Amino acid sequence: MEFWVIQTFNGLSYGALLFLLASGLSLIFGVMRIVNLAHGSYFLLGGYVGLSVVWRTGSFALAMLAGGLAVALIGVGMERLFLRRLQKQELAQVLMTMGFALIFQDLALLIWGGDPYSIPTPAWLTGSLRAGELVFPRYRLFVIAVAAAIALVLWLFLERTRAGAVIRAAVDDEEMARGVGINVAAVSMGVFALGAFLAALGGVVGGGFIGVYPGSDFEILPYAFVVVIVGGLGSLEGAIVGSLLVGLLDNFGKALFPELSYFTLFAPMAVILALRPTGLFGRA
Amino acid sequence: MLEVEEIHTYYGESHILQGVSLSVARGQVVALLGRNGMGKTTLIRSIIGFTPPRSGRVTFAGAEITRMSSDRIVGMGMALVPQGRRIFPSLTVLENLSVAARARTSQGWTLERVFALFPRLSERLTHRGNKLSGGEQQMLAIGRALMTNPALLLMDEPTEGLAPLLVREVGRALAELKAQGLSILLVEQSLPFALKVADHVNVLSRGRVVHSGSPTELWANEEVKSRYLGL
Repeated sequence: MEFWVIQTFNGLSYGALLFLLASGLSLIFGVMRIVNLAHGSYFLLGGYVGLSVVWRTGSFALAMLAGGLAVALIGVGMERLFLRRLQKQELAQVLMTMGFALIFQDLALLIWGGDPYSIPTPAWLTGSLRAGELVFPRYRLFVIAVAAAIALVLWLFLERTRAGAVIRAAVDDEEMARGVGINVAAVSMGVFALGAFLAALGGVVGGGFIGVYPGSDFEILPYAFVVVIVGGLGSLEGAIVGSLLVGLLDNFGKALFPELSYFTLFAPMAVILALRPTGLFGRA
Repeated sequence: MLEVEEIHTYYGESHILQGVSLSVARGQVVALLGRNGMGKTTLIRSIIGFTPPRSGRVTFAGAEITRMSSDRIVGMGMALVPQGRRIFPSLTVLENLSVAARARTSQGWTLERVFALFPRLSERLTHRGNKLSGGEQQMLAIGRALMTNPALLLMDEPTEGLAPLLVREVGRALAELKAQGLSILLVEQSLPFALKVADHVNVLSRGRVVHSGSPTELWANEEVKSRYLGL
């Protein structure tokens, strides 16, 4: 019993982290149809920027904000100067974003070196909550709370505001959105900034429990893609459900069948894709 | 108001529009007729900027818009009721209208005016676009275009697939818009429908305008009717 509760909890907290990454990736793909292989780099860079900010200022909240904003700027630069020119050229996009991912990886190695770090977390987030025999690390509860709060805010923004409706219109039918006067280029830039911000926020938050280290970008990227593919491209509900599903599958896979952990993650993805090619919440 | 001069438009290598010219004057309703696959929708797409022409010129409200982005063209006062309606499926009726809204003049279109034109829509405010009937989608597509406060409305087959009662409803709305002074470029399959509202008629065949004249002239011209419209 304990085993199941704790593993579920761990799966949920990893899923919460994945949500921060995947929600932005999904929105970006939905609006711009860009497969952004540099999305994991935003996670990595966010973590490193957050680490430096905590070292200088000691403030974890400031680290989250600064990491998010710095990387949002990088994302906007990438979108405006490079990716915008490659509309509807999938191969060129893949090569370009892959190139960026490699450059960011080397840049991070150059600036922060090759040692793994853990971002120091505030005192009130260390330690654990106990319920009988069960132990829940406070920090993981915090990660779940952050992701839940962001999911709620994103949902309210997308479903309850005019700007959110504009974004959904661009996801539904990009050409027709332009045909009713929506400046889709500006929407794309905003969505790209938001997606990069969330991924970097994930990097800072993740730095407190899985750490910041070279290679974390390409380690987490496939997970984010699995979430987006399983959940359905461009769908917030899909990103929520997909993240939790992938977090749980990955965690139980590693705990129960460690030698088969990739199988337990990717086999369900293959089954879902075979039955619903557009993902759980995707539209045709 | 709208001048299309000698435009050539391609889809990849296929040469769809082969030098089309036409014009729409202020307050005029111009119909564009022709069989399927003759380039009518391509012409609409070229004007609104979805598929810009490779050569030729399009001018609107005194400015050249040939290679301008669609959202800027719409901002200048052109609106589109596209073929197949293309309502945003995940948006509610209200959202479909509000994302198109442009605050401009005091006499602009408001939700109230759209609902006065199509009372049916006000009963469906919170329904998603993909939960509407074909007729409701058509009304919404027209209402959505009006919310951008257009001076010129491009309508691509607004009666396609509608029951006779709804065709009449669309016809009534069109007559009302015309009476309010809106310029309209109307693509139609139904000759009687088009001739009833149009001031001027162009017939398109194989990417060229093959006949241009008044509705009565066309009605009397058996050769054009049988050769290009299959009547």
